[in-house]
Amino acid sequence: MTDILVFKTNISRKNDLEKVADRFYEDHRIKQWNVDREDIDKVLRIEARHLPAIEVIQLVNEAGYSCEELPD
Amino acid sequence: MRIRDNNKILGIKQKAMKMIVKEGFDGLSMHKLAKAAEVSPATIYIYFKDRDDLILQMCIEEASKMTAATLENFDPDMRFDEGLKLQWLNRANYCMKNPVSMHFMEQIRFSPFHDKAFKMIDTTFFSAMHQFVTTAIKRKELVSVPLEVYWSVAFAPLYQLVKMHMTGKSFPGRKKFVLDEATMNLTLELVLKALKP
Repeated sequence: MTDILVFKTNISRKNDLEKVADRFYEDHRIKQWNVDREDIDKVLRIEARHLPAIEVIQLVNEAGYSCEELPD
Repeated sequence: MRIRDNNKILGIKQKAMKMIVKEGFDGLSMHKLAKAAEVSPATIYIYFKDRDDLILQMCIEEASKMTAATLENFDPDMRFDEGLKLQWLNRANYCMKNPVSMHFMEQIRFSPFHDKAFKMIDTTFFSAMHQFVTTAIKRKELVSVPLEVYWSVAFAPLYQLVKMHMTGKSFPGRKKFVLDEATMNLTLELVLKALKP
């Protein structure tokens, strides 16, 4: 079963996207991901298995961007 | 673990469709939609990747419903006049029962979503239409003309009447227009005459 995680970020340019992509490719728990850069919250959506939200936040922060989980 | 809530999805799609019909594609943002549908933006993103994904999924669903309704009781081997009449009734009924959906489909018609969606739906509809037309041409019940010409003569008159019926407006100074069976049959007769070889 895949989980869907949703975050608010400041990933807004293509260049930013590539930076987080480098981090995500290394994590095999991530099945699919995308950033809705047209949205004001630059929503990061991740389909993953057994990946805690806190780890995603860490990955994105390490790439140099803000990231907080969007409440349901 | 989040559980898929089909009622929520339905509510989101219905609101999205209304927003697109009212304000066009640019009028739809995930945040505005979340507010209107009384869910959090996160909830929408659980079900849809982004705005384009949402619109495409809506297109596929509406196109499937519309084509299924058009094919109700229809058999591509029907005589041309019979088959066209049934399609007129099916199409008119569907539009009148689903006005928002009709406006939505009109809006997407010339957008990239339309092509993408129609590539993803079941091909039953297209093969039935194709068989109906080619059989009718073979039986000499229908003139052989390019598809665009055929569609414009065979269906555009119906959709124009349906539009006038749904808005209640035809021309300045005319009373409220109602598309009744007699009016539909009168128009259909003219269309059939035009399409005879």
